[in-house]
Amino acid sequence: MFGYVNIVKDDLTVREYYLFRAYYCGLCKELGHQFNNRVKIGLNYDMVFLALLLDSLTETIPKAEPIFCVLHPIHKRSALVQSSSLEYASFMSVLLTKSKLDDDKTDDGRNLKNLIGSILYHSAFKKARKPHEKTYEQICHHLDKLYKLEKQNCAIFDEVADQFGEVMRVIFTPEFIPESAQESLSALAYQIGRWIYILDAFDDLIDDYTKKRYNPLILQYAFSERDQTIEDFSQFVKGEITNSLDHTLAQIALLSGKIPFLKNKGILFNIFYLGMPQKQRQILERKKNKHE
Amino acid sequence: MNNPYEVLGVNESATDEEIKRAYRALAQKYHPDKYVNNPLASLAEEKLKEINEAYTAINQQRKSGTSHTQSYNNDQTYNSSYAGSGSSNSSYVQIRTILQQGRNDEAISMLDGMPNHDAEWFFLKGTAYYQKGWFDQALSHISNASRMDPTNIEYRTALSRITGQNNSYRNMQGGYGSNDACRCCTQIYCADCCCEMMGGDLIPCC
Repeated sequence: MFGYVNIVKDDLTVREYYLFRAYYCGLCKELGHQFNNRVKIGLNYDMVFLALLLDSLTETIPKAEPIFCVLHPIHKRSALVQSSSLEYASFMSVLLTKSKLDDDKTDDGRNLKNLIGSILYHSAFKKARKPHEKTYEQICHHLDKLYKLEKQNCAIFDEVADQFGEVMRVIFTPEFIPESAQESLSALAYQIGRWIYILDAFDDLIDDYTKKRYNPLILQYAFSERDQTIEDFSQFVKGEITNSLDHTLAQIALLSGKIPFLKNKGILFNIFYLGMPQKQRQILERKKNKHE
Repeated sequence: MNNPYEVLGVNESATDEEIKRAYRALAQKYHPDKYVNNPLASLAEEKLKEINEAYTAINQQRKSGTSHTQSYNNDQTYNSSYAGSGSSNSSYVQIRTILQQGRNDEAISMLDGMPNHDAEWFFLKGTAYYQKGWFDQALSHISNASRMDPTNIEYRTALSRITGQNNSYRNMQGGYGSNDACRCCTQIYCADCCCEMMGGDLIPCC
């Protein structure tokens, strides 16, 4: 996961911003509580979004507790506690990081980085897998398909992104969410996964080219060194995929309106309508700074 | 054809929801996947076809009977194209029915099995991709269809829907918080950052 799904802080109310931060700190704390402090390095905004989204489907008012944190030693921060969605998101975070480490291993051979990663995650993974065996199997099933497509040099980005969308579908529809939300949530998750994958492929385009790694966009739009530079090519690809990405965002916005959220609507719509489009612009314009 | 209500085993007074449920249960029962290497496969296939036809017939009857106002949701746009003269090929009609029920993968595999790729083929495949969420493939297939048969209004409408929906999204964004307001906020924020760098503070809370 890549941390692409995030808020636009400037457009939230202060209360909403603190609440969002409490979800973030809550998930971090939950990771430490359920597993150990080492797995906290796998924490990212996509997983916070998962916790937030699932929690928004329940009516319970989240409980917050002030906590001490090494990263913010001066002031205590409030973190949410005792939420089934935080617990679920922490388990998914471990499972996903683990499957990503396994993928890197087959990609680059054994290197030091993922050796350390595997050791750090070993015990946590064993614990995380047990209650979610079926989910993990489904995730692996789609990821395997995805890696297979990558190995076969699949040149249709819709097709590769499809598998990542399916992974998100699995993760975003645990059994504890109400049945009335299942269908639209599943469709929403699929579009989000697809959006993340395509955007990430564009983000890595130049890097993948220099390192001679697989990238669906390079293959689909058939880059040839003789005709243009990789930078010009990237500009061209940007024009080609913008429509498709915009369409995906439009679908996300449309689907989000169909989900019966019971709370946190302000934060969620901030993400769907502002955060994701902003991230897309930043990636497409290749802007590294946060503020346009 | 038999009475479609009898085929699905429901009363004529059944609600749409009940019919849908009955249809789904039957479709699952006779799904070809369940009859792999089974001598009854062809029988099941025939039965499934009958069920599909009955379901479509009921839906059409009810739609034309209950409301004449055409709302433009997905289900009905494909419905309206039935009247179009373009679908002379019977398997295209069948594929349209399947698409209408949202069984996109099935439609795609049927299309892949066809040897001739004419404009209608590209249009249907593009539609399947569109419903699936594969917008890039949808765009290229439907533009192909439109190029091959530029006079077809249905293809052209679909094409402009694909390229045009983004505008509605941008409008929605505008309603939420216009771009200019956004930029204004960020500028203030930047100013705040600069001030903080020099030791002052424009916005005390961040």
